Amino acid sequence: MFNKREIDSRETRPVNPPKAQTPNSPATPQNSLRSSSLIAVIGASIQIDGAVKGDEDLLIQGVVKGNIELKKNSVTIGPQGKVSADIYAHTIFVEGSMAGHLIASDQVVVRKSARIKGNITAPRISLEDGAQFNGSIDMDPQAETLKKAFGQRSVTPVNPHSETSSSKAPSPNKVENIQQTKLAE
Amino acid sequence: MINASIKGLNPVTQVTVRTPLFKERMLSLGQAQRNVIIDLGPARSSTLAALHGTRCRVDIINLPELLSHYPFDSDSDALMQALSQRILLSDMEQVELVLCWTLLNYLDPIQLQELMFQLDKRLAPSAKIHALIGSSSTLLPKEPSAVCAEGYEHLLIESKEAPLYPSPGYSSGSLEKNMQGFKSERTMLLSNGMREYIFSRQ
Repeated sequence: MFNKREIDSRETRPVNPPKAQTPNSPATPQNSLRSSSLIAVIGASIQIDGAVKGDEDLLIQGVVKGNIELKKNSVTIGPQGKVSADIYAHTIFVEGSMAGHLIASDQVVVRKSARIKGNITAPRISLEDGAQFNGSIDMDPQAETLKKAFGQRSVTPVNPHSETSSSKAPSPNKVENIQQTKLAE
Repeated sequence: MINASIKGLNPVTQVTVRTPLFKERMLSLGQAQRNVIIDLGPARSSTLAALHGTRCRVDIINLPELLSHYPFDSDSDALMQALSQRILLSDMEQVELVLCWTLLNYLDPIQLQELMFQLDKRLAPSAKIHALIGSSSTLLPKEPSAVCAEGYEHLLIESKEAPLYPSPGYSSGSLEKNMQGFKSERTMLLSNGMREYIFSRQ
């Protein structure tokens, strides 16, 4: 059905590694694809109307209208990819267009070129500034949507103590202009 | 640097300000309970990073994008209809915090009232609204600045153009008048001349 092929080290780069920085050292497409020896590719000239299910990683460069369920694998919407559907996967990378709900048990990575209309649910979400996004971003690891889709045990737990420098602790190198005056309350 | 930016002497304006009330609100988001937040700005990586580790959902409204489609002199009803669709697009899970950044400065009193009317449908009784408001002497860029959280302590306010336009200069009183049902709970003067507000229900 798809252009299935063995992946060598060069081919494991359907998209550039994410530049966005994210908590917990996010998986990259490269990393996620390495965990599986096979990747399915929906080419730019392919359009699928209907559900897609399977047990291998998937790169979408074409058009998919229908739900995608690859709950143990990664799904990448490439720069030319257009998806109108809900996607259930372990990890989802978006560089193209997406209309629907993205639900990942581990992580969703949204690149600057992405255009998303819909909701994202995942314990870890990174989004590059400049991405077009309208919808809601649910990072609650205990969200009902995740439990229904993957069950409690299948969701990757989030370590709240693994913040990056962009998180709670401000950088000591940041320019700081403090002239704080408390006004009458 | 800040004064030069405010006076429009430096076309590239990038100011980091310490925002104690923002920090206070972020720290109040517990890890034990689920929090729903409305972000009136566009989706930003820095906001998501700041919220990492909390059980939260963020509804992105992207008011700047709406304002670019419906400027001041256009049909205000159309803007509010589009705004309502985004606010009520998702389910009616109650919202605990609204992040307005500097965006309220770009709304006229009628638009501000309409925004509050639409938000009110989603807000929990204990909901808080965080906003940065310019004084009457503050100049603003034509387009809303990008505001990025730097951890919990600071906000980075970045403008692509010089701030040349006068702020509406909303006072606490005028804000409360136009944000019906809400009162100014706390306010702080920031180093860039803006005031940081937390509003809660009256």
